Amino acid sequence: MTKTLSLGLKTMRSTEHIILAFKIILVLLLTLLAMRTVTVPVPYGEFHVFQERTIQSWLNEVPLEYVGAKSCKASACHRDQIDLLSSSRHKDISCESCHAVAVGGIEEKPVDCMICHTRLGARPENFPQITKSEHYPNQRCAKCHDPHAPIPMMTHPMPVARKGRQACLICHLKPAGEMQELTVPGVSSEFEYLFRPPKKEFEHGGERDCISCHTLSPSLAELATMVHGKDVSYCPRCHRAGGFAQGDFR
Amino acid sequence: MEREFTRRELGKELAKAVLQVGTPPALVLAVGPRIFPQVKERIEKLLPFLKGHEEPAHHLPPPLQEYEAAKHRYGFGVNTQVCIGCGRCVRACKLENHVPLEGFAYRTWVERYFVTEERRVYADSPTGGLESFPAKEEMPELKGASIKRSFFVPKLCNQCDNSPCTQVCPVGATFKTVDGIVLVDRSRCVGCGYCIQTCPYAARFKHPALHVADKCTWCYHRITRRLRPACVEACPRHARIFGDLSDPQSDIRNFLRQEDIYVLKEEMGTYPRCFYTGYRLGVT
Repeated sequence: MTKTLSLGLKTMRSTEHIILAFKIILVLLLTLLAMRTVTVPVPYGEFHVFQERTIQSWLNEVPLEYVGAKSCKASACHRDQIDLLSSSRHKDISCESCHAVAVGGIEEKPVDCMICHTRLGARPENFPQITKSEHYPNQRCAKCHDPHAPIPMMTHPMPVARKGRQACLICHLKPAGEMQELTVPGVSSEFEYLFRPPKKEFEHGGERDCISCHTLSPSLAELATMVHGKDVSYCPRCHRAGGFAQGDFR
Repeated sequence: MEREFTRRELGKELAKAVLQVGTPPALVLAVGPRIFPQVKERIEKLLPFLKGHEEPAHHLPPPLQEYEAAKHRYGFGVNTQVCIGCGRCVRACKLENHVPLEGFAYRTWVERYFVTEERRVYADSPTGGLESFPAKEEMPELKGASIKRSFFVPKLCNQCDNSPCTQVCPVGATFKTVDGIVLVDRSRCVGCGYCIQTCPYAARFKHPALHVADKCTWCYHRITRRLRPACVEACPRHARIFGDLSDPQSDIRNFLRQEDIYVLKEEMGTYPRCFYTGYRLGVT
């Protein structure tokens, strides 16, 4: 009797225990799920939430500094420089390669020409390079070369980089006092007159470019002949046949 | 004294680890500084990177909300034959990505290689190329050696398809996006330096100000706005080429069509997406 009773009680108790255990597990599971929904952020996309956040911050929040040459060229702000640049050897170089970054607005001078044009053994041979100590060491680059329009080097004793009449007059119209500054290697005293102001009668060219008569690649001897007027074949370039009156030019 | 210092540093590192590994980032920002005053400064330093900057530049392309990463697959080309080592790319990169100009930390840099007549290869990069290169190389090994060839090699992250750096990160702070760029979560990174050690190309470094791992992202904020990376923009010689590999008309596809291509350390099996052309003897 007692045996069966106790057995019956035991069975009763064990089922209760199991049910209780299941109940506890269920409650724990529900609490865990509830907690999970609150604490774990919903992942979206195929990335973990913080990775997605990193991507979003790169897409939307990280600021830009370089605007790129397209932006400068599209605006009308620097029209003159961009026109000059558009036909020059530097046309493919972005404005911000030499000037300060556009957005950051760091006030600074344009970059030193020598950062690119110093002679280094590792640079490609066809790239224009100089050793500053051998190439007018005391002169500023911009005195002869316009960084927006560097024209290819000619066989002229001095590489003329600026365009138009002004290019020549930088050197060829120097007042006598400043002549001493110029160090022109390879120019003997025979051609020293080239650096004197032009005579009155040679100013007849008016606003005409000097290179419309004087070629940029003459030998010095040829240049001398031409200037001295010994070769008459140059005359018809400006003068009509038989007409030598003032203003009677082609 | 030393012991005290060690204890303090250890405490900081532990707090950092607990904060960054075990808790959601929002919680870190909200509660972190209050509970762990010792990391307050560090968290404040990170805030601008997490929250973003207030003033977007008005004349720049707007952020692309609808950017679809799956449609793009980026590639980079480097032509060592035309590089003049002027370092404009290095400067552009530092300014664009706010890496301090001082200090030896470069997302991209330029190396100068020397190949001697005996086919020995040497390389130098005194300032990463930032201020160009000294005309006189001061390498003791090169004294008396006759240099056969010398050239510049720009380096940057290769955005490997099988990237070692993303595999070693213990906190999962670095990962690869769908379009193939490896990014670093700056709030997640604990600065352990495993990725810096493992990168075969030495493209990773510890950010001098933030003390987290940093790396070249090919200017992810630019390329997703259809702009070119800052280094490509600044290069005066077109030595750097960037484009979308999935677009047959892109610059990089033209580059790959025309040039004799190699990748750095191919034997490492990293499958880089940065392609080189030009001189290759000894370039690693």
